[in-house]
Amino acid sequence: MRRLKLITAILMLSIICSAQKTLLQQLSPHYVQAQFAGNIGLLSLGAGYNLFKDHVHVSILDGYTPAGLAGTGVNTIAIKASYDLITIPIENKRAVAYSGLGCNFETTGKGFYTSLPDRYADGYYKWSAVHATFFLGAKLQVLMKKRTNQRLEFYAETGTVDSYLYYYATNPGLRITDMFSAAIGFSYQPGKRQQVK
Amino acid sequence: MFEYTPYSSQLASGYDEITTKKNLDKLNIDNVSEAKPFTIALLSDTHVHYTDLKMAVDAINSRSDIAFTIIAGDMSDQGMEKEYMLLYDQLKRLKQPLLTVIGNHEYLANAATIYQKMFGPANYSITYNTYKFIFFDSNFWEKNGSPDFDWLDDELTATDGAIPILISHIPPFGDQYDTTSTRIHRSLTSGSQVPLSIHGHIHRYSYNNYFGDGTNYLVVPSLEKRELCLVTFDAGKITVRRERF
Repeated sequence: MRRLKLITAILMLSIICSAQKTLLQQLSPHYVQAQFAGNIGLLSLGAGYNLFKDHVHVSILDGYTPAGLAGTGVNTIAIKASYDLITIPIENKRAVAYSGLGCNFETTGKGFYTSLPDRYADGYYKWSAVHATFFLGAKLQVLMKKRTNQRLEFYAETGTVDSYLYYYATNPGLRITDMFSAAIGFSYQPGKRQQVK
Repeated sequence: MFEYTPYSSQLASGYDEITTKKNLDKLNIDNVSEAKPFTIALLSDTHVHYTDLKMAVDAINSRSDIAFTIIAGDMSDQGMEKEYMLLYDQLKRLKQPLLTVIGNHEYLANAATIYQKMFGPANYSITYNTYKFIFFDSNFWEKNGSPDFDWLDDELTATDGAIPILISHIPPFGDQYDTTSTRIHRSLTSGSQVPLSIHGHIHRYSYNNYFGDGTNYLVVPSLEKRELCLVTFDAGKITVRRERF
C-alpha cells in the first residue's frame, strides 16, 4: 500500500513537472520589445505574444520618464493590444498596417489618483493614474529565418489617450491632430526552437 | 510630436509669452497712482472647457473697458501638460493683460511646475491705481501644507495707502480651511479692511458679506456657466456685475 502511494506520488510529480515545462514554454513571450515615447515613457521595454494566427499582438511594457522631463519621475506600465489590418509581403519582409487599444497605469509620480483620500468629496478629482489608449501604426517585419519565424520588426505609430479624445469630443473647434503624438519602436522574435531529437 | 507621458512638465518653448511677469510689466506701463475708474473681468475654474474659454476670451476682447483679466485658479482637470497647452492657445489671444492665481488642480501631478513656467510665482501682488491686488495661494491638501499666511500678513500690512483686494482660489469658508485656518485668514483680512475678496473653487456665483465683518466675498462661477464677472472700481466704490457670454 505504501509502495503504491509512493509510486502514485512520483507519477503525479512527474506529470506536474512535465505539465509545468509545457506551461512555462507556453507562457514564455514570443518577442521582446522597446519603444520610444508614445505616452509610456521616454523609453519602455517589454515583451509580448502573437495570438490568433499572428494577427493579434499583445505586449506588456514598462516605461519611465525621468524627473528632468516631467518634474517628478513617472513610471508607466502599459498593456498594448494591436490587430494587423493590412499585410503586404515584400520578399523576405512584410509591411503591416495595424491599429490597437491599450491601457496605461501610472505607477509612480505625484498626485495620481485611483481612489481619493477620505477627506475629498465624491468626484473631487477624476481618475488620473489609469488611461485607455488608442493607436494606429505601420511596421516592417524582417523575416530572418522563415522556418523558425525568427524576425525583427520596426514600427512607427501615432496614438492618443482617453482624456485627449474626451477634450476633442466635448470642445468643438479643437484639432484632432493636436490630440495625437508619435512613437517608434522595434521588437525581436527569436522564433520557435528546433525540437531536440 | 513625441510625448513621453501626459504628465510631463517639460513645456515646449513658446509657452512663456503670457507670464505673470510680462503681464505685470504691461500693466505697470499705463499704471497711475491717482484714483481713476477702471473695470476688470473675472473668470474661474476653466478646467477643460476650451470652447467656453474661446467664447469668454472673445467676449472680453470685444469690450473696450477692461483694464485686465483675472482667472481665479483651477485651469486643468488632471494636471496634464496637454490641458495647459490647450488653455494657453486661448489665453494668449487676450488683448489686455492677464493675471492668474493658483488653484488646487494646479497641484495635481506635475502641474505646479507647468504653472510656474507658464505663469510664474504662486504668491505675488501689484498696486494698480489706488488698489493693491494681492494674489494668494490658499491651497492646503494637495500641497500637504498651509498657505503662507506670514507672506499675506506682510502684503496686507505694506499697502502704502492703497486699498487691498485679495484674490485666492479657495475662499476662507471653503472646504480646505479648518476652523483655525479660517480664524487666521480672517484676522489678517479684517485687520487690514479688505473691501473685496475674490475666489473660485465653489463653481457657483455668490457675492456677500459672508462673515459680516465688512469684507465682501465674490465667488466667481466656473467657466462652463458662461458668465463673466465684471468689477468696476470707481472712487472707492466697488460694483460687481454679471454678464452672460
